Amino acid sequence: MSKKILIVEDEQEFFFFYEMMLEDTDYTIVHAPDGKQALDMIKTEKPDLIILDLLLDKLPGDEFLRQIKSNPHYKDIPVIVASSFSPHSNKTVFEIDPDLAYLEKPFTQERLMEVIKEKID
Amino acid sequence: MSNLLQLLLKFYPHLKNYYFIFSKNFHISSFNSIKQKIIFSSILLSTFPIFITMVYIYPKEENALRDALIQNLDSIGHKQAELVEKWIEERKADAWLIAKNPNVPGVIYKSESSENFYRLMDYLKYTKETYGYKEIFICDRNGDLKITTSTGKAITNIAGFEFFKQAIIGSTYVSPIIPSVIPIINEYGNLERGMPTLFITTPVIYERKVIGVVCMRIDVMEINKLMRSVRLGKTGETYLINKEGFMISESKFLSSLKDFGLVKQRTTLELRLINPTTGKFTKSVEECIKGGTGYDANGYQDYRGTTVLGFWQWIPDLEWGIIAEIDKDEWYGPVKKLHKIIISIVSLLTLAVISFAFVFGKKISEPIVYLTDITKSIAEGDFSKRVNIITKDEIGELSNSFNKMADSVEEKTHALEEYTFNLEKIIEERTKDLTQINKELEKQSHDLEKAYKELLTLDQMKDKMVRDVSHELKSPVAQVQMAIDLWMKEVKKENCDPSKEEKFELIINNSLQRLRKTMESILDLSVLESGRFVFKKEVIHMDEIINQTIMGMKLLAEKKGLTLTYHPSENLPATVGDKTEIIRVLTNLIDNAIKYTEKGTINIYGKYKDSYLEISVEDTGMGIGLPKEEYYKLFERFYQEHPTMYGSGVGLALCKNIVEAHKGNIWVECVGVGKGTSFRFTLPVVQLENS
Repeated sequence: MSKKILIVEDEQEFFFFYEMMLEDTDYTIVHAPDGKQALDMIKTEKPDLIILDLLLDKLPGDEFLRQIKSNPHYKDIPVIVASSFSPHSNKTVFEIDPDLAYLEKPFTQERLMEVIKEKID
Repeated sequence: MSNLLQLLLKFYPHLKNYYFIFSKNFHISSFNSIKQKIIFSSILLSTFPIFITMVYIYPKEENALRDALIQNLDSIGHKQAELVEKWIEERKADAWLIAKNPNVPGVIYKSESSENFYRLMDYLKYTKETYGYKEIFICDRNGDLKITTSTGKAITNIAGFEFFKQAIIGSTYVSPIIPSVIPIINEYGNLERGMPTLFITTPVIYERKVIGVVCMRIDVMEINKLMRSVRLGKTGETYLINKEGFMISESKFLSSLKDFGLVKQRTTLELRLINPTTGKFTKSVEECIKGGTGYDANGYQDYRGTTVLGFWQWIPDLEWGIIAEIDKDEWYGPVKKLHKIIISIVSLLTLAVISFAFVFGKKISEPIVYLTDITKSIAEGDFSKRVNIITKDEIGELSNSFNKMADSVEEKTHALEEYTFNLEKIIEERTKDLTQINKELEKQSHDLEKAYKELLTLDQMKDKMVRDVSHELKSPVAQVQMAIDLWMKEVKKENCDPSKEEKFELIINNSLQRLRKTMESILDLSVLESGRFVFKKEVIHMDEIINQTIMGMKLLAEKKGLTLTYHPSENLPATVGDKTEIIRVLTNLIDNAIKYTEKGTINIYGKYKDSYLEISVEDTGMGIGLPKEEYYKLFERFYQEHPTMYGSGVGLALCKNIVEAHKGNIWVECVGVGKGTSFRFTLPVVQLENS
């Protein structure tokens, strides 16, 4: 059974890139344009992995991460944070979830595949 | 003090009651008030003479009275003894006179009916009647009766009797009182054997020889008359006793003795003088028959069992004792009476003294107590009180001095109060000043804190702005790079999808445009802020430029399904300004309205008011999430309320800069989140200088 990835990304362009990069893989992808929708989709879609942008409308990415990590039902879902900022300027997310993987934009298909595999395969 | 009281109470037991009442009211152990002290001292001083009377004079008087009694008893006793002896001597003389009667020898020697006999008989009868003898008779040497005053003779010879034997040997003899051997008429007129009888006998001497004996039987009752001749009060009596301890005279209390069954007929020879309690002779009898003379003034029990005082004397010639006694109660009656009188006088005096002491004490202490009360009132702070005592004595003088002192104290206290009040006022003012200074310091401290916080916020804001701007720069660059990268890969694929090329191209173009726009805005703003920018001065017809801007943006609005409407007001005057820049302001405001509104209308209003043109851009969008006091932040450069929306965050900062350069004002109004936003700006209406 293919693994489901929830992509939380407000910029349509970036979601298009995710679609392009993962179209030849077994992964199923679902898209949430803001933090609030993402929270709802966790319940309905039950993803195996979350790729999370941090600059989100309605519910910022770090707050979304804090909520799922404090919820016993979702805290075990692995998270990849994807941002145009370097991991050094986003230290707070590591304090919330020390196990998360960090993907700095722009990234290549190979780099994406590498972090996904690191988390779910 | 208490010792004196104890002594007083010892001698005045009846005063105990008064003492209790007194001590209850006055707390003798601690006289704290002058009134009590005065009263007690008065009582003490006044009762002192009475105390002396009771302790010294009264006992002395009592002793004197006792001495008088003893003297009285003594003289009565002696007198009685003397009387008895004298009386007996008289009776002896009677006997002797009879014996010397010249008819006696004839009667003794001759027959009965001789001349001598009748003469002698007459004489004897005369003597008997005159001196109250019971019987006179004469016998010869042998004891045979020769002549007698009695009629019926029971005995004719007396030779066997002691009184005959004593007389025949030549002496006058007084017999003891003895019971009669023959029946004799008693005091009740009946014949009685054993009646008390007393004989006096004397020898008849003729030619120096005892030829016979004269005998006289004496009525014992005659002695009683003698005894009663001296009265001794109601209960006093004198009586005779013989050596066997019998009474030989009649008791004053015969009838009561008979009632008690102590005697049958009389006390003579019937009553033995025995103390009914001890069963022995009474004290007087016991002492008397020992042959002594004495008295007892302290009291002893007599034959009735009554306490009596007594005197006794023994008469050795007769071998009789004489006793004078009186009931103690009677004798001490006057003493008791005196005692009662003294008690009454003392009680009355004490009462009077106490009453006087109370009145006097009150009178003396009242002004002092009054003064004390006033002093207390003044001490408690009531300076209005003054003493109102108008007397010419020391108390009056003291009152005057006190009032003067109170005046002085009041004056000084008022001065002190005034001083304290002024001092308090000064302190209050100083405290006020200090409080003011403190408040100012607090305010300054608060301002400093606020400034520090603002600085901190500014610092945080700066960080956030840098992030937002860098995101706005980095994000399109990343998109371009990823698009190129992916397209290159797509191109290399055998089954390359040419439709994707268009998509990549659009992404790349949009991103580059976004990047250019952002950079332009930043540059424009920096030029504007540098102050080096020169605004053009052109005539601006606001209606015209608004309509022009709306035309340019209508497409963008319609793309989102929004309506863009201008509501001009009449006679909107023209003004002067940089047309391009004013259009940039309008464009920015309308662009923002389109960006933050999902559906509805965007209305633009233009009006003229107080020499100003006021332009409003009102939308039906999401509104502003900031609190009202932070709306100013929207006009700061790089501030983005919604950072995810495309935009550099410099649009409104540019607008503010341009409007203020035109001496206008720009602000925002919002009722709440989801209720739309109104951006307004004003421009002063000015004329072009040249025209």
